[in-house]
Formats: sequence, structure tokens, C-alpha cells
Amino acid sequence: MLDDAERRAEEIMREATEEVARINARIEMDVADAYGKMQERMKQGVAVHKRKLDEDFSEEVAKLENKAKERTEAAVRYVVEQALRTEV
Amino acid sequence: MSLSPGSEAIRRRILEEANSQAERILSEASSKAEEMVRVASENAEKTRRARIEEREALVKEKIERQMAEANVDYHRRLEEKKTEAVNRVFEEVATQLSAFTAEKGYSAFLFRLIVESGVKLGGGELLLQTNGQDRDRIQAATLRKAAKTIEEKAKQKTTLELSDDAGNFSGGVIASKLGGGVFVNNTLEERLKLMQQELTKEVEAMLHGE
Repeated sequence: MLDDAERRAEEIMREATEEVARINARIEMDVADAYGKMQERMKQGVAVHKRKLDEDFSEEVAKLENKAKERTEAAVRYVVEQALRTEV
Repeated sequence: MSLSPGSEAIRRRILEEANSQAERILSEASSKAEEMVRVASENAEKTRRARIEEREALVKEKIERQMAEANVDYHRRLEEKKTEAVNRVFEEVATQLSAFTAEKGYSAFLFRLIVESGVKLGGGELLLQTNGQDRDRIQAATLRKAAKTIEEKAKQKTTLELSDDAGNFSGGVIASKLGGGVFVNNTLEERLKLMQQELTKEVEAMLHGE
């Protein structure tokens, strides 16, 4: 009877040791899983940010070019005048 | 075989004791196992949280870096566009200055450039280099008039001589002291270069300012 109890106790401890090993192994999986999800979210976040910047860029360039187009003639005239100005 | 009542009692007691010892062994093993799993679970949760937090910090840093790089790139591209617009102005100025050499007012401008260069050199015996077209265009009378004007302004007797070497520039003049290394570069290209150095900020403001 005692031998049976000892054997059963050893079995209980072995099962517990196996459970501890499973728990520890699950950490790696959980961390890897969480990291994978984080990276995916990061990629999406950065992609959204870049897309927004591209949209802003196109808008800004259009504004900038329109303004520059309207003002180029005056700027050219001004620089030509300066280039042709002499000290005598 | 039957035991005596005394022996039977002893046997029962021994069995009861063995039973209770067996129960104790099992109970202790169960408690120990439960504790082992509980501690392992607690530690695992702490480790898991710490490692996830560590990864989160890494990912956050990476996101911030990538976004900052994207922002810098955005501003760099925008600046490039602004610079392109400014460069277009100076390209157009170069075209107009070059075209100006064929216009009526150019001769008078060239005269002023010669005088300005001569005055900067302080008068004296000066050599003038122009392009081939201007060399053929400048008359002796013009040179004498320019020399006289320089003389008056620089208070120094002045003679002007045209170099036989035609310069490779669209217009203007390079004046130098005869026999000396001092010279004034008053070509259209050089003037444009100076304008580009001096007026870029101003042109930027004219094009892109409020």
C-alpha cells in the first residue's frame, strides 16, 4: 500500500514537472505571438503615416508650384534688373 | 486461519496507520505539485509580461524612428521642389541675359560694365577681354570714352586695350591691369553666379513666402 502511494506520489510530481515545462514553453510562444502582432501593427501604422505624408506632399507640391508659377515672372524680372545694375 | 481478538486489533491498527501514511504521502505530493505549478505559473506570467514589455519598447522605438525618417524625407523632398523652382528662375534669368546681348540696350550696358570694372581696378593701363562678337562691336571711340570716364572717376590716367583672345562667355567683360594679376570678372555668367549667391534667399521668399 505504501509502495503504491510512493509510486503515485512520484507520478504526481512527474506530471507537475511536465506541466511546469509546458508553462515555460508557452511563454516563448506567447511572446513570439505578441511580438508578431506588434510588428504587424507597426507596419500598418507606418504605412498609414507614409501614405498620409504622400498625400500631403502631393497637395503641398501642387500649392507650391501654383504659387511659384504665378510669381516666377516677377522673380526673374527682379533678378535680371539686379544683374544689369551697375555701380556707375 | 483466524487471529485472536488481540492480534486482529493490532493488524487493523497497522493497516489504519499504513493507510493514513499513504494518504499523507499522496496529500503532500499533491500539495507540493500544486505549489510547484502555482509558482511556475506566477513566474511565467511575470516573465511573459516583462518580455512583452521589452518587445513593445523595441517596436515603439522602431516605429518612432521610421516615422521620424519618413517626416525628414517628406521635408527633404519638399525642399527639393522649392529649390527646383528657384533654379528655374535662375535658368530663365540666364536665358534672358543671354538674349539681352542681342538687344539694343546691351552696348550701353557693356560700356557701363567696362567703366565699372576699370573704376574697381583704380584705372591705369587696362586690358579688356570680351567675347568675339563684343570685340568686333566695340569701337575705338567707345574705348576712349570709357577710358576718360574711368580716369575721371578713379582720378588716374587710364588707357584701355582690347585683348586679342576672345573669351568664352555670353557677354560682359574681364578687365585686368596690364602686367599685373589683378582682374575684375564682369561677365554675364559671373554676374549671374553672384546674383545666385546673393539673391537665392530673396527669390525663395518671393516664390514661396506668404
